[in-house]
Amino acid sequence: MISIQNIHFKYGGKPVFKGLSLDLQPGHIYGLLGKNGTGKSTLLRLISGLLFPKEGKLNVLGFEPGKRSPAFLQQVFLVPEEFYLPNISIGQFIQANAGFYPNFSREQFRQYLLEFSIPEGQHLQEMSYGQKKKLLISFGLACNTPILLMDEPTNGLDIVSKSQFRKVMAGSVSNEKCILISTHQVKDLENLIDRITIIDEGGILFDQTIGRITDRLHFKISFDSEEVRAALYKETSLKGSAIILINEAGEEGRLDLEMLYKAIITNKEAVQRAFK
Amino acid sequence: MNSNFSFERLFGLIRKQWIENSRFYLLGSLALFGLMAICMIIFWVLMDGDNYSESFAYNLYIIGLILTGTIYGSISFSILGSKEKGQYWLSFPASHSEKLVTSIFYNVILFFIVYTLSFLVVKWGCQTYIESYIRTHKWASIRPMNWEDGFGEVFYYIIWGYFCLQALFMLGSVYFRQYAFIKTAIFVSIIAGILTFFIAKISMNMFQGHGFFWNGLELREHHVPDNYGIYKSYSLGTTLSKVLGYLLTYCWIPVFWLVTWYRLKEKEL
Repeated sequence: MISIQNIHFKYGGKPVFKGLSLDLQPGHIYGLLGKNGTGKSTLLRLISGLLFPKEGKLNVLGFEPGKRSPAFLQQVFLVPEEFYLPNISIGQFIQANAGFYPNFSREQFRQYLLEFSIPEGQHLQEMSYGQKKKLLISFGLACNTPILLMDEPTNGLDIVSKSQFRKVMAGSVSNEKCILISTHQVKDLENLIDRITIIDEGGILFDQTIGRITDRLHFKISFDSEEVRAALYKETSLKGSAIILINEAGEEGRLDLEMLYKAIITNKEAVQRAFK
Repeated sequence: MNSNFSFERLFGLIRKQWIENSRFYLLGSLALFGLMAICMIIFWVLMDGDNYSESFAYNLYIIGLILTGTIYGSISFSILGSKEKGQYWLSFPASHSEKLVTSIFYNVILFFIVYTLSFLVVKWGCQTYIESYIRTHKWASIRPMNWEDGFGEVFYYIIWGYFCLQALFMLGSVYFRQYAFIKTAIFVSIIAGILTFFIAKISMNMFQGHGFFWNGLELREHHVPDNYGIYKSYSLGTTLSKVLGYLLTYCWIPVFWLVTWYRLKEKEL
């Protein structure tokens, strides 16, 4: 569905990607993680055709995104972190835009607005940033594009909205859809994403499914000093030490995305060894 | 619906642009009408003396058209100056050609129609007042526009030149992210200045006595001081001159639009 092969990209003289390769398939929600400035948003903009790679091949649904052909654009929807909405009402916004997305469903859109508690008659300029973001997410979901790209979708959402977002997103997964979410707020998406991709230093640092991560790693609280010493990553707290171990016994446990992310950043080789 | 140009999508895009910007267009048209009324009253009705000339009103029309039209042209793609707005516009499912045609429809065609209609309405009002003024003031007069001579003769060429200039300012709005009008105006002045300088310099070096002048694409050099009917002619031949003449007159607009289209395709945000 999305095939990225050995792409290179730089802003002026500053390289962002140096030979990045990645394959994304339908039926998954991918979590794209990485430090500030590692190129998460850049990758989304490359996939959506807003930026062009300097080298390498990028193929999305059989299209070259940089050509921005209408047939391609109507199958990809990007919810950017910073976005623009015109000064019109929700009804007018739908009237102006919906016709360009062949699979747009008004019924679904109404349902999403209802779940996000946004009154349908509202004017876009009267809405808060969070409300506008929820409206854009609702529109993006209702477009039913095979590819949905979201850049920090939970930024600016309050606690209730974040759980509404998770609920809405969980209900929108389908075998035909590929959703790629770039985020820093890993906690917000913990139970939502089924594959994690971490980018760093111009390439892919880590790329595994949630199933394989919980197969290979065990997340637990431990008071055993031997166990803590052997851990791939540890965090001490009053409740004991939160640790990540290699899951040799095949134990079932709950994944802590934030800890995993910190483990990969601080102890990259050991975590990568666990997956070999 | 999926090819690179579809009329269905184009009309949808024109409709979308109207829904999203109708308030701006309506207020802009009102402001234009008001501004034109003020200028016509001050500069034509009040300041043109008692011997009114209709051609003066058309002079005002041309000056206003060039000034407002180039400003309007230079905001055609101002949406690309902001990352958020640019993303919204570029990632919208329509081709670059459809987006360009929509901009041309609003910024070139519709603007020209609204501007000209505003002028005709204001001129009609002013002329009605002037005619009633003449009826009560016997010494006052109005000279109608002569379309066969001088300004009247070149009027349509000036209008054509305006469209070329506006196409260039539209291109400038894609090239320059900010202050597109000022930057394009500076760019045009520099290029025009350099061209004029080189043409003048070459001609003066070639014809040291300065006894030459251009007749369209033909250069005439006088060598009999008292008889301007005798001259040496340097020309390209009838057919080539005609073709080149047509190209130099009519190619600018399509060329500028084509370059704008290429720049839109290349635009990254």
